[in-house]
Amino acid sequence: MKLYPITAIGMLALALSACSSEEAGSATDADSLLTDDWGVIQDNAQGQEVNMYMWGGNDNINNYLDDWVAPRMKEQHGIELVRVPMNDAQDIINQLLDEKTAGKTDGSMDIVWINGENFKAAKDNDLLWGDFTGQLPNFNDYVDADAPEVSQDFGEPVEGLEAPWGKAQFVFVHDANQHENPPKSMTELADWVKQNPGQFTYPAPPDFTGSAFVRQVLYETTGGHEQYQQPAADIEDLEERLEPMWQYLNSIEPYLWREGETYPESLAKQDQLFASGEIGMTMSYDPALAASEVLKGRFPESTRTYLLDGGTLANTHFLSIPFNASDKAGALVAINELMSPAAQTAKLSPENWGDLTALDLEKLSPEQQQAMNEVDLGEATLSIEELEQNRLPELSSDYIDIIEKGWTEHVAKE
Amino acid sequence: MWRKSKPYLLLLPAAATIILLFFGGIFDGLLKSFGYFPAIGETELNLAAYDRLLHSASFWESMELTLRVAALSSLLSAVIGALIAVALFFLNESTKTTSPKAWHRLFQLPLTIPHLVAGYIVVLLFTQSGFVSRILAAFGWIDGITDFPVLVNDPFGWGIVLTYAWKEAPFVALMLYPVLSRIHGSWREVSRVFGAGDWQFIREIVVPAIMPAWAIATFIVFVFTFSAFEVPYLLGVTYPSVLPVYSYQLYTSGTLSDRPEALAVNMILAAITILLGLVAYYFSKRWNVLKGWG
Amino acid sequence: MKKHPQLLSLFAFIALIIFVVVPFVPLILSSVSFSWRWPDVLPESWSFRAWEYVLNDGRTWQAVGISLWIALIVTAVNILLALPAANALVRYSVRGRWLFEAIIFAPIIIPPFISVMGIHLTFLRLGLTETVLGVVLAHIAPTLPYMFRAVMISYQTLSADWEDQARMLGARALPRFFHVVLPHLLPGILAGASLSVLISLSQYLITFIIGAGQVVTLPILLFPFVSGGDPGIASAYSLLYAAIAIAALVGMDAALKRYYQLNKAPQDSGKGVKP
Repeated sequence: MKLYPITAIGMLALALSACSSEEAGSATDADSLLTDDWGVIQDNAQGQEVNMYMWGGNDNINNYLDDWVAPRMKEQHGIELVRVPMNDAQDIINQLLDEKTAGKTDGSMDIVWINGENFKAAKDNDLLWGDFTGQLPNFNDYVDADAPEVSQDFGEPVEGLEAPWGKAQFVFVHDANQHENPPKSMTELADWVKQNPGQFTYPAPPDFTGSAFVRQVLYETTGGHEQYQQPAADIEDLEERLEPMWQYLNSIEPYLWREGETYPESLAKQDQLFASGEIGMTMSYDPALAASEVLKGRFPESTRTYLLDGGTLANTHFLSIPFNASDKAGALVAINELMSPAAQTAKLSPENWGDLTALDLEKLSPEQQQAMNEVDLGEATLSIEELEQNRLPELSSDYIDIIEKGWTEHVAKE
Repeated sequence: MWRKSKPYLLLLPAAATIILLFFGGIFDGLLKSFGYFPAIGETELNLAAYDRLLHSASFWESMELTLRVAALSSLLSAVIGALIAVALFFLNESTKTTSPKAWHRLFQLPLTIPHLVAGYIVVLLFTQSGFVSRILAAFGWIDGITDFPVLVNDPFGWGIVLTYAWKEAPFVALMLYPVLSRIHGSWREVSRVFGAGDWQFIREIVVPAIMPAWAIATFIVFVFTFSAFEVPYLLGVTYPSVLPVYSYQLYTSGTLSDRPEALAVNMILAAITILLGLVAYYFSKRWNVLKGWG
Repeated sequence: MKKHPQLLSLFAFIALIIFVVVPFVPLILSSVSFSWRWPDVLPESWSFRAWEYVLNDGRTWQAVGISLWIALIVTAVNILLALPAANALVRYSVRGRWLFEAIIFAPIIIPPFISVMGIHLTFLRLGLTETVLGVVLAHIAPTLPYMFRAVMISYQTLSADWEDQARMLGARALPRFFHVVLPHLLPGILAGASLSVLISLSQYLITFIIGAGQVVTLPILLFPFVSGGDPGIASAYSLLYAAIAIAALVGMDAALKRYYQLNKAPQDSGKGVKP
């Protein structure tokens, strides 16, 4: 009957899918790409399929890469850019760690989008390729390599292992129709939550943004960020210095959403609470997120963002190439393209993404500068100047771990 | 010789596949839970991971949560499942002309819906700003969002329980319905002859008759919800988490030294499910329930 | 009990509707809404944005294809493995029968992710991660027991006499199998196949661990949205996912009916005189 053909097809399918999985990696002479001429790199990159592993939770970012970047990559460089969405950058690090342990030299990840503690973990475990940013024309032309926000990632020296892609700044988001005068400092927030119980909360650390909020609290309740600009291990009385922060967080807890008995599991869940009207405020590392959510109809049109009077955390996010990437030449060309003024300007618009540029505006030509300034950031987004004038540096990642574990101990379990 | 070994040869592909892929994986996990990681040079076996685990408060909180969630899920789906079986029974009674197939297919719908979708449905229905809350507000029974109880992403596990109740109740009903449909008719007539009233009939005939199937079905739901991952991952909280999620959190923590502990959780979970499975098997054989199941 | 049949039936009917159908209402509504804030029971504005995104995205159809393809291969493999095994256990006396049953039914009791987490790094070393083959291998264990049980039940109702008769009439082993045994087993195989497909389609964790981002099935595509992303898109994907699952089952059911119809005709035409 039909059993034989089915068997045959089944066997064939299994065999085919096994064969088509990995191309034999020719990664042996890839390291020469770190010093080759750009022309050689471009030639090698032709026809390669570059897998870009990144957080897939924002469809704007996804669309920007799929609809704006990928076609251009194909046309101009013959590269097939494949976006691989991940739930969490942590998964990327885990996979690389496993692959390194197993000795897998032909990895599927060609570009990874990481920063902060993930970068540190990757660097510590030798998961990244090497010093490649010096090979990228756009990096050399448009980026100020000495600026601290480019040469350091959460306090860890970058050393060319990752290329800056964009900038993030912590902003608060609120519905101006519901609450006209949002709190502009932690002391104001403490009063605000008492007057508006259940309207405020923050995602539970180790969520990236929730953790950032806690660090914001740290800056404002323990006397500023300057004292932490050294390795955490060097500060002897760190415990005492962190104390006021825990006290603050515990003091506002009863007035938070659900009386602080639980916190939203992730920023995405918190945004959903804000979108449905359950809470009156949320927060984001993406200054233009609110604007793009308004465009999608998810946030009300009266949504606005604002900064704290004392400034907010700002950082750069990066793209890197893992040690076992199979298409390193393609990765280099793709990253270079993502750093081009054209791509960065497109990225700036909330219609695409709304992410700030990593390029140094002063190094751009007047036309390029004008193109950037003309982008409509939307009503909900603050101007680039205002953002830039209120930037605070991030802590180095060794603090982050301490703070995240401390939060679980001192606040969550109370 | 061929005759004698033929059945074993026939069994070989299936058994070998399961042994290699399934039991091989369990054994692999067992070794790793003992710290056996030749890739990074660890080849000694030790019980350190189990030691750490059994002494950690978060493990026991996970255990407690998992037991609670599984117990509530199975009880709730048992009750609802019985109600569904009875409801179907009445429908069949009164509409003898319509083929019973339509109703059967309809109430089996939750069984075909994937778990993640069922979990998401519960999210849409039961968050404080969810559908049920809006309906209650429309009727004026609640005033504000916070008046609606916290049922999703809650530390107690209600969201998980509700999802499983919806998804597994039809399964319980499916196991009860054949028994119910065999009861009626002649039995009722006979019991009337002996002067039994309605309630007496239910109490002394119906309930004992469905009890074995009901108990087994509930037990199966318990074992399943005890060891399931997807729904608690979606609807639970980070801390405390049910055992499968707890294991996953350890496995993906980024610290390789957490791996043995993660796999130790898995081994404990496996041991518990094997135990429960044996209990279910024993009772099902005793009550001769599973024959003709499905 | 027969006093108010109509009332009770009506009540039962309504209760069933509420239980089964109502949960889908917010799912459908949210997939076509533009803005839907509390306390509106109906969305204040409508839009097909979510469906446009879902249906136009190549990724969606790729995921649908891969999910169905994996389910198909897994089911086919299961049939090949289960048929001889069920045959053996039902028709022959096997020493240690309980052991074989225990082995094959084990994945119903012990959750499959335990095995997959354990074998993960081994798969990695063997190059099986990130491949469809690896995911297929991982899906076999959770689905095979159900196929096996279904086929076994079918075999139990197959009397050995039929095959004996066929043999006495001169039929050789293979044709005997195809024309006598297989048609009888078909409903059982189908029942097992339905379960196998359904379970394979609904796997998330084991596909995620083995597939590692390269094998994207529907549940993996769906997950980021249901865990806090855009609810409209989450709902659209959920409905699509549920629809695919139901369609697969209905499809297999219809195929079986068609097979019976096709095979009935020749028998009828041989029946001779019509009354």
